[in-house]
Order: sequence, then structure tokens, then C-alpha cells
Amino acid sequence: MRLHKKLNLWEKNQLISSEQKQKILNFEKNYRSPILFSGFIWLGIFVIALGFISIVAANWMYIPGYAKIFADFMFLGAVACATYRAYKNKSEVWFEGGMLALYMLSAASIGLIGQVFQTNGSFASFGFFWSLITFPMLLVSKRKIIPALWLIVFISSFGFIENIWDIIEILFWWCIHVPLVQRIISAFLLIGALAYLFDWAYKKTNLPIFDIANIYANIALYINGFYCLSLAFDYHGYFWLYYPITVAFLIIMAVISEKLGNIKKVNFNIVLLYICFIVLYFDLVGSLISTSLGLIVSGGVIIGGVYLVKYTIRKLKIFRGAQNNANK
Amino acid sequence: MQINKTVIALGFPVIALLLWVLLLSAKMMFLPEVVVRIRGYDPRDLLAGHYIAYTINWDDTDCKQFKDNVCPVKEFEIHANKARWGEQHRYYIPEEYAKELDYAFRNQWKEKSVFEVIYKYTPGLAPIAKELLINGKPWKETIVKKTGENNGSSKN
Repeated sequence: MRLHKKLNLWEKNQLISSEQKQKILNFEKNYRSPILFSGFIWLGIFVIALGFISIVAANWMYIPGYAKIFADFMFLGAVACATYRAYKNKSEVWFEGGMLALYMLSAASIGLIGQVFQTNGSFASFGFFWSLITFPMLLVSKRKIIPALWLIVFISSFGFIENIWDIIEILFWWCIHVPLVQRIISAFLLIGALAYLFDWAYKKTNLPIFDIANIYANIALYINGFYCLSLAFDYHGYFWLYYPITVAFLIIMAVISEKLGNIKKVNFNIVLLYICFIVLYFDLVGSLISTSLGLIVSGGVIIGGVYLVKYTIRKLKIFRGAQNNANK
Repeated sequence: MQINKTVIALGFPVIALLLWVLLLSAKMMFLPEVVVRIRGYDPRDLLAGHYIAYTINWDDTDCKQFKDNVCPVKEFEIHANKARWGEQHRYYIPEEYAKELDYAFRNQWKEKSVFEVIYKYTPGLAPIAKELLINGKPWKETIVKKTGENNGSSKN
């Protein structure tokens, strides 16, 4: 639908002809990848792989350990070969599905080997080992499923390291013993920097893992923002501290999204701002009159602020243009 | 280049797991055996089935098996899981005998059973549990026999 709108706009401005527009639309219609079909195939593979993990968990006594391991490697090898064949035949759905199966079966194999040889290990050692042996898949897979699962396993493995919270306390001592508002702002800055880094890495490498990491970082940012907003209404004494921080965060995210050309995200942040003000209205700061006056003034500040920013940016562009001309 | 990356991505997990199995097999074949006394309880681990979680009873373990007649308590602790009540080791057991083994393990004092584990161990390497013993015999001999007797008596 958005493509249609864009094409209509270009046609209206005579950037493309109606014939070109139709050619593009026809091409897109035929080229569209079967998302639903492939999505269900991969879901089916994921569920089957979970079933295999449960079979391992049952720990059948009647099959000797080495027989189980031999069968496991035969199966792993068969899946790897079939996946490679799908790659050679350029069948993306089955190639990605095969890699997903191999990813899940690697976990089942680690469990089976651990069971047969009675190895003792925490979830951390399992998680890191699984992440390590499946890391090369991240460089080859073009879809987001494997990176999404891989990141969850990798990050959550840190939580199971012995004494991890002591280590975190040592590393982040400067953060733990400062006021909450500084911690929240530090979290915004740190996670925001990470999100920016992942976005840059994704644009450079086109690897889905960075796109997923960016998504997770953005989720963490908004969780932090939601937490900040909840503090504003939990501790009324700190309302005028946390509420502006939340609003400022959403405005900054909207501006950054606009710079990155992500219109959906701009709208998302504007909608959250709408919700912020509605929540403010329903919570009522002081009397109804003071709340209504506050909201009117806030609305005026937002509109005035937008025009002021636009004016400032225009003036800066003119100033920079004049400077460049002078240098030439 | 892309083909090489694909081959590596698909082959690396299989080869890494194979090397791990070879390493563990070598440990199982060549390391000397020691027998340690155990006590504990039975929780559940979805990834590798049921297991007996136990601690090692060093007081009742024969330390003459080890170098200089000193039990390697610290070394076994390093390779244990850290649980709320202390160090925890695991021995995986089949689902169908988990209940009987769990009962026998919990009631070892009442039934005067001795639970031990044979480890493949040498200083410097992580010990691997080879076999669970009940009163000196492999656990399967005791539990499977008991289960067979119980099934027989219930049919009668």
C-alpha cells in the first residue's frame, strides 16, 4: 500500500510515467516472497525440533549411549546436507528452514551428549557453547529468526554465570550508587548509543543479527522510558522530574526516526506522546483548571517549539551554505 | 566465498560437537576411576531429562584412591553447579525409572542403602561421572529388578 502511495506521488510529480508505475507494481506483485508460507514452514520446523529435544530429555535407557550419539550425528549430517542442497537449488525457504532445524538440533545434541557422558554444566556453559558453535550461521542467514533466538540465548546465558551480579556491581559501581534519575538518563544514553551502533553496523554489513540487536536495544529503551513514566506517577513529588524526561525522550526518538527516514517509528513516538498527555490528563496534577491550563500551554509549547526548531535549522542551513560559498 | 561461508556455517556445529564427543570419549577410556559416596535429591532438567542432584560425601569416601591420600574436594567443587544449599553434581537418569530411583535416593538412610558414583578423574581435568552405584552394584541392576518385582506382585 505504501509503495502504491509513493508511486502515485511520483507519477503526480512526473518523475515516472503511468506505464513505468504499472510495470513496477506488476513486478512487485510477482516478486513478493511468500512470507506466510515460509513463516509456517519455519514454525513447523521449530516445533519438530522442540519435539526432538523432548525425546532427548526422556533419556531412553534401552538404547545404548553410543548408538544414540551415532544416530544423532547421522541425523545432524543429513540435515546439514539437505540444507546445503536447498542452498545450491536456491530454495530460500528450505535453506533457512534447514538452518533453523540445524540450530535447534545443535541444542538437542548438546543435551544428548551431556546426558550420555554425564557432563555437569550450568545453563551458562550450555548457552555459550550453543551460541559459539552456531555463530557462523549468523553470517549466512538472511532472515531474522536465527539471530533473534541466538541473541536471546547468548544474552540470557550471562544471567546464569556464577556471581554475575557481583561482577555487575563492580563494573557498574559508578551507576549503582548514584540517584535513580541519573541511572535512568545513563541507561537512555548507553542503550541509545548501542542502538545507534547496531543500526550503523547493520547498514554497513547488512547482517540480520545487527538489525535484531537494534530492535532489542530499542525495546530496552522504551522499557526504560515506560519505567520513567511510571515513576512520574508513582512518586508525585518527582512528577516534574520524570515526566519531562519521558516526554523529552519520545521527542528525541521521533526526531532521530525522522532523520533515519523511519516514518512508522516517527508516528509511533508521536502516538506515545499522545498517550503521555492523555495519561497526564486522567491523572490530574492539582485541580482540573490547573491541569487544563497546563495542557493548553504544553500544546502551545509543542507547536511553537516545532516551528522554532524548523526556523533554526533553516537558518543554520543558510549560514552553512553562505560559509561554503565563502570558502570556495 | 558465499559457498565457503555456507559450508562453514552448516559444518561447524557438527564438527565442533564431534570433537567434543571425541574428547569426552578419550576421557572415559583413558582416565583412572575413583568411587565417591553421595547424598542428595532429584529435581528436573528439561534439556537433558531427569537427573539426581547430589553432593559428595567426602567424609565417607576412601581418600586412599587419590594422590597423596588427599581427597580433591576443591577440584570437584570447581566443576559442580552452585546451588542454594551448596555444591551440586548431576547424574542423568531415564524418565521411566526416575520415580523409583528418586524414592530410593531420598530414603537411603531408612533403607540403609549406600549410593556412590564412579568418576573418571585425573588432577587438572574436569571429572566425569561414569556410573551410579547402589550398594556397590550399578543402579540399573537394583532399580530395574525392584521394578520388575513390584510389577510381578501387583499382577498377582
